[in-house]
Amino acid sequence: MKGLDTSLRAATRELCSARCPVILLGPEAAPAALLLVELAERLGAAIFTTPDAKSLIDHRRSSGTFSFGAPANARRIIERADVVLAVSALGEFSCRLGEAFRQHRVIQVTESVMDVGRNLEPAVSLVGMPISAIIALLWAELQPLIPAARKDWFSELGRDVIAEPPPASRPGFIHPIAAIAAVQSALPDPARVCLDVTSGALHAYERLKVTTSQRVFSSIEKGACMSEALLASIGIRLASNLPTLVLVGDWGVCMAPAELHTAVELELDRYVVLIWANSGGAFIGAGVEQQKIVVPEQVWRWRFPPDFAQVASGYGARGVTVTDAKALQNELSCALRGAGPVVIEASIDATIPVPAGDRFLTLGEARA
Amino acid sequence: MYETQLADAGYGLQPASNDSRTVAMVALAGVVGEVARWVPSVAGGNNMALIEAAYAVGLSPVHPRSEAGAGFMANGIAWESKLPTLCLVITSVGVYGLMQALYTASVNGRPLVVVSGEVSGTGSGSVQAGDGWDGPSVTVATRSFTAWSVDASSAELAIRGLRRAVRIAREKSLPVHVNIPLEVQKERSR
Repeated sequence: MKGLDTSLRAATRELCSARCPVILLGPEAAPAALLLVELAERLGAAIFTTPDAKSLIDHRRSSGTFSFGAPANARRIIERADVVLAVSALGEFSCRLGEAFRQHRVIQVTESVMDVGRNLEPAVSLVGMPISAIIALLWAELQPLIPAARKDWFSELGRDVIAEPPPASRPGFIHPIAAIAAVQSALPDPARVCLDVTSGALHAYERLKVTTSQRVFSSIEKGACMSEALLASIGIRLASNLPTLVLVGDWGVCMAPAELHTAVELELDRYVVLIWANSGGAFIGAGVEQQKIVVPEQVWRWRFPPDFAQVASGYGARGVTVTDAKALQNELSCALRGAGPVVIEASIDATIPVPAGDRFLTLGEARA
Repeated sequence: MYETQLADAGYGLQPASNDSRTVAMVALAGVVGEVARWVPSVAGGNNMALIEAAYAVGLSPVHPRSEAGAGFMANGIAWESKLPTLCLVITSVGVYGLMQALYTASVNGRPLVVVSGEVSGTGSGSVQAGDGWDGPSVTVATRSFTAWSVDASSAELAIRGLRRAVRIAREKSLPVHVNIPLEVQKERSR
């Protein structure tokens, strides 16, 4: 406790003197999310979530996801920040193996001391108590020192310069940005959104706007297991009894198609499997390109992708293929409110670059 | 002792005589109020008494097509409900089939309670044995991914062990594993 007291005082000093503070919430921060929003208001701090914590903060307050799937405005804000209060284990996908915060003063709040120093050395670490208790103590320390809300420093940086309409795509294919816009437009509130390991999820991390009652299941930060969200989504639909959408890549659905039959047998209504179909492992393809690796295209791309609508039909689900964003929105909107399960194969334009970020480069260049 | 626990929990079929309750029923009745209602379960010769018991005590088993499916569904239920979530499979190949799901439960801190049905009679030569007699031990295999993995080789251990497992899963928010031989599951309470 003595060590924690010392660290609390150090963290308080760092936050009081910060000119451009940000708060990063990982899934561990869930019990303290409301208090962290209050803390951000008091500090004038920008708030980010890690990918797996996307729905912890309402999109109207969040500055976006960081670091995996970070939108451009999020990167601009982080680049200018000086102090980061990271309520997170700070795994690879929340700090680019430490590279993202090399220039920052990091205060790390985490459940386990094993999370500290994994890939960066924080200026201050706060461990040893439940996270909600640590944040409550930090709030109690800061309140008298910062009696009124400070003006935020990031709003100009965080504003979208131009509200771009969904861009045009090749005929017969959907632009990924337009696909995410269709998802957002069709999504009920409350609902559940399950993001599998797919290039589509990267677009969702970057652009999908959700509320706290549109809870997002994502398991990219600790494990990144393909088809996990597809299989977990059936359990989530059962346990929540809420409309549930799972976004899974074509490769991911090939890993575990048989559970579609389980969903059919359970007669799951308001349950939709959205297959992000772009002829194979687009994300791996982007990595191959980034690293200038020389391998045959068959490593990640398929010549003859399965007909997923027929696969779904074979299992007894309604299967449909859509090739434009409007049809995707209509199908999603109906399926998330009606009988099911429904499998929607969305033909995504594979010529649009995957927002792979710099994950593969980071892996290759990170300090050994 | 066991019938008292079942009655206290207020679940299950009311038996015509004490003989109608199995250890599996008593063990599950002891935790039914503390776990998620939905129970992903893959049936096999060595865990049917557990699945029978799950229905009998008022849980809602669901039946995925594979152990991987069961394990990941249990992850989803635990994520949504924040409750310890039972997952019923058989030993050996059943447990090995859900190892990836157990791994992700471990690293993401989800309270799965894997209950596997072990073969009857250690050393009897069953092809599906996972008791470590003449092949791998399932509880040794799962230990890296769980807060507690235990072979419950008697009625008392099965009942106490499942209660302890649920408590550990809830408090640590980590997966646990209890491996119960078929003859213990089917044993009549006394």
